Amino acid sequence: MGPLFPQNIITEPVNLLIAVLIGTGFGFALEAAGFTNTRKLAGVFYGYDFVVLKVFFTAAMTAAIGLFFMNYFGLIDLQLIYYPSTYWLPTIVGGLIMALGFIVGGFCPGTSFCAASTGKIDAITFVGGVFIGIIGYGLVYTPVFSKLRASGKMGRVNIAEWLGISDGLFIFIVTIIALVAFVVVTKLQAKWNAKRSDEFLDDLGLDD
Amino acid sequence: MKKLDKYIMGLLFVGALILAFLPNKRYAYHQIKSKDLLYKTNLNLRYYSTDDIAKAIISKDPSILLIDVRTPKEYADFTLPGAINVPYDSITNTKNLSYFKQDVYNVVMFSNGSSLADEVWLMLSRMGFENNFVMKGGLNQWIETIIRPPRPTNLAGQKEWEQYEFRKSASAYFGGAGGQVNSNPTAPTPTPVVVPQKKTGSIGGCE
Amino acid sequence: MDKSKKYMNPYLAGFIIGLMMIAAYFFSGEGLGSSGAYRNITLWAANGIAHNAIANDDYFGKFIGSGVNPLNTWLVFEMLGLIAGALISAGFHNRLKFEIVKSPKITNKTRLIAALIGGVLWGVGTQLGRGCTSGLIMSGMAVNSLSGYIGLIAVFGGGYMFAYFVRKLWI
Repeated sequence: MGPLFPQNIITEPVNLLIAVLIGTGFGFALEAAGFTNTRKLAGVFYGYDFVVLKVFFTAAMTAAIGLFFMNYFGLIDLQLIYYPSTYWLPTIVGGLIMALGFIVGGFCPGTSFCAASTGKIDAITFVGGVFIGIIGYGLVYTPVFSKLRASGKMGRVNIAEWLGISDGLFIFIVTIIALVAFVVVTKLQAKWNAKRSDEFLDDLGLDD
Repeated sequence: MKKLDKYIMGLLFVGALILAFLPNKRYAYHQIKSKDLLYKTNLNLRYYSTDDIAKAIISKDPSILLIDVRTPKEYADFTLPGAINVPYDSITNTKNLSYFKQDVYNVVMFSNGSSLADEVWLMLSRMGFENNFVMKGGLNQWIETIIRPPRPTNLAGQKEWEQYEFRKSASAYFGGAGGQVNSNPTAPTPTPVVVPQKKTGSIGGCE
Repeated sequence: MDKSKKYMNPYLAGFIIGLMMIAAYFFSGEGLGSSGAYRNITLWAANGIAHNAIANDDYFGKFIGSGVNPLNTWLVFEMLGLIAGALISAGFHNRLKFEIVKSPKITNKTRLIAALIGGVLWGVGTQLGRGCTSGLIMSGMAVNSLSGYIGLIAVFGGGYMFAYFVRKLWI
């Protein structure tokens, strides 16, 4: 059955309209979870607020479990979706640059966009920075980045296949790791936050 | 932990647990709608002429991959230079399927006439693969046009004479001088490894 | 008022986002993302200003293609929805106001400079890494792509590596 648009079961205008609806759901959930607040976002790296870990892994695993079930029952054909190619080297380097951006700026492009729309001035600055970064990248692309960006090409690699296990088994393993992590970090967060001021916890909407 | 937390985590656990026992399901192909297939067939876009193929071989065009779909014995007797043999009855072996599933080369299939290669084309198109073509008229046409090109009549125009000149030199190139058909003396040039690429339906993503 | 009701349960939020991701793949064949939209917006604006330079540019040239408007893509429309969703939620939770959110231990100026630098780094990183947290990592993990997991380790691992050095910004 799915994916619908690549098989022309729905038209492009409908596809784009659905994009808006999906984006609305996404934006709502991000804001509601508090991802417009950089202090909450950075909390995962300092141990006082693990909301990023909980939201991120729940989302990724919900999607993976859902998609692979649907694939198994023929509701979607995962061969027809946009499957990303793996370029291991530029992804690692880019990832490290992004990590620095995250820990300094406190946002990622998606959350900053949400935050900017709700009036957070630091987010607006951040968004401006992203545009500047993209333009700068394009300007110095040929001499600086072109080789790196094209390196490490591995084609479309499925990590379960790469490891030699089934998709389902891999997802199960990651889910277990995530669930264990959820329990552990909840305890750690409570323990470490016991010493923090009420004001601090209030700001972040955390229980004490 | 609140109740909702446990509920969601439990859901993930059960879902993942069941998934762990399910085997991989990869659809090797997807069905193309019959209406689309009929349209494609009627358009006759699948044909490469023998002249096109002769030019491609002579210029060593790297984007064309010639595939002889006849039996191995016929292939050994005579085939086009550089063609590989994928007999029509073993097309669906996963190893062979990778030749037809990729999007790097244009695969041109041929047989003695047109019908066998056409049937294979139909089957591959039904499975949703693109980039596969047929040499019109097959080897019979090849011999009639390239190896033993017919001399244009007095009424023929400039273009036909040019085509005849091309075919004559091609014929010499392929060792067909004097109307003799040599069996392929050398083994086909080793074809580069065809990387099987999954066919995806959409281009997009954050890239 | 119960403080913990200020923000949605993170597992619930994650579940909803997961459902959105499934919907994205099911309807459009691609996953959620955002850096692509930033790039397209940049392209569109730059194309309007300096068309020839962009079309011939080594990096941007290939995204311009044959006169297709870069704003007319799934990701850009998803971002429009993002704005709407964020506005609705913020309105509902009374978080709709102009402010700078930061640790009380640093100045506004520091926060804004840090935000700018962070943004520039993400601009570069997303183009090099081919995506951001949602597009590269989350959407990648949803389909078991190796790229997503490499991204996960690089971004979150990197974050932990760098966290100590900029801790003054947060704690």
